[in-house]
Amino acid sequence: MTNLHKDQQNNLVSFLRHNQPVPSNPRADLEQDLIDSLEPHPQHRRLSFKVIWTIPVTITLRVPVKLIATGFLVTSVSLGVKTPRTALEPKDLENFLVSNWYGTVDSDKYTANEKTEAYWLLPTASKSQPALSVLAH
Amino acid sequence: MFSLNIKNVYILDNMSKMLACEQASAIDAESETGLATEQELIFLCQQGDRECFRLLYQRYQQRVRSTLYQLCGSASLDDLVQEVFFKVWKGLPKLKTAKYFSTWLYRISWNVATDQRRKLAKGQEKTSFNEKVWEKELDNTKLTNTEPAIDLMQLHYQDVVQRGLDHLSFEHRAVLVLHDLKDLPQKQVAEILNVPVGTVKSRLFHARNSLKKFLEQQGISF
Repeated sequence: MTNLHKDQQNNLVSFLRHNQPVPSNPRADLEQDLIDSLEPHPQHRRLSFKVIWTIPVTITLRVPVKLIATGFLVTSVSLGVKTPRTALEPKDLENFLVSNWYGTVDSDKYTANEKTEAYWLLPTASKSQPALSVLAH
Repeated sequence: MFSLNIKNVYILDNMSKMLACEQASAIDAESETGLATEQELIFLCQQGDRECFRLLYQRYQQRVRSTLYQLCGSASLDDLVQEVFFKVWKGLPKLKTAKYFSTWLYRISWNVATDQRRKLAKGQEKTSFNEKVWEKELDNTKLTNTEPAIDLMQLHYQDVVQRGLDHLSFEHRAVLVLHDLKDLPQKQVAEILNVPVGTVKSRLFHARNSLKKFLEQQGISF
């Protein structure tokens, strides 16, 4: 296979750009057809004002506070019980950091993640994060 | 107190509606002078504004259309363009920021072109990449083209280039179309095709060499 010189490359590219194939015009009603057949975006459900205002003010104020407090207590207690705690020696931790720091400056790997389609789009469902705890003496 | 709050809410609601209408009409007016920004348009499309989507379509349809044409030929071109914009409309609410829009749009076009190619490969539709169809397309171009200045020689060259593109593999063709014809940087091409930049460079190298050979066989030298 022959290598193209810079000049040849430039000539080829400018020739292609100048003579690039041009499509025929779209049919006249294409745009209107498209707009007409668009489905409305799904909206988040909102409670109507009637529903909101029929709930007594006392309940709307007191119940959430109690629920939040109870939820917080239950969550913190259950996490504390269920999450396995792993004790790490500071020396082990240091060794781990030293042996793994090379990967962190690999900029290609880091930026590649940003260029994937998943990065452009909002996540559809949130993933639960595993709990992690480290105890150092 | 209660009725006052309801009133306030309705007033606010009406105000926000009026504001949205004013924003849309301002963008309409701006778009006539070419001043509406991509971000504004995309934001309003994300809110479900169809008229803004019409403007977005008008702004990008030619790019999408020519890319699809150069990748897939003229078979079902209108349908393919429509499919791309349907997917754009559906996916827009999930798009994080407007700066990815162009790349994302090309990615959707590429996906639609790939699907179309698979259909063609399965023999569901007669491929457009044969001599007779190209001759027809050339005739159509002649008929639909309103610019009298385009001479026969240029039409001939356009036909040769399209046949040259057909001569390439689909992956090589895509890189050449996006990089050399659409003038996108290699990095963006890599993002659209979801391949490393090195692969884009390699494909571009092979595609250019192959196309140059084809063009030389047709009596065009560089």
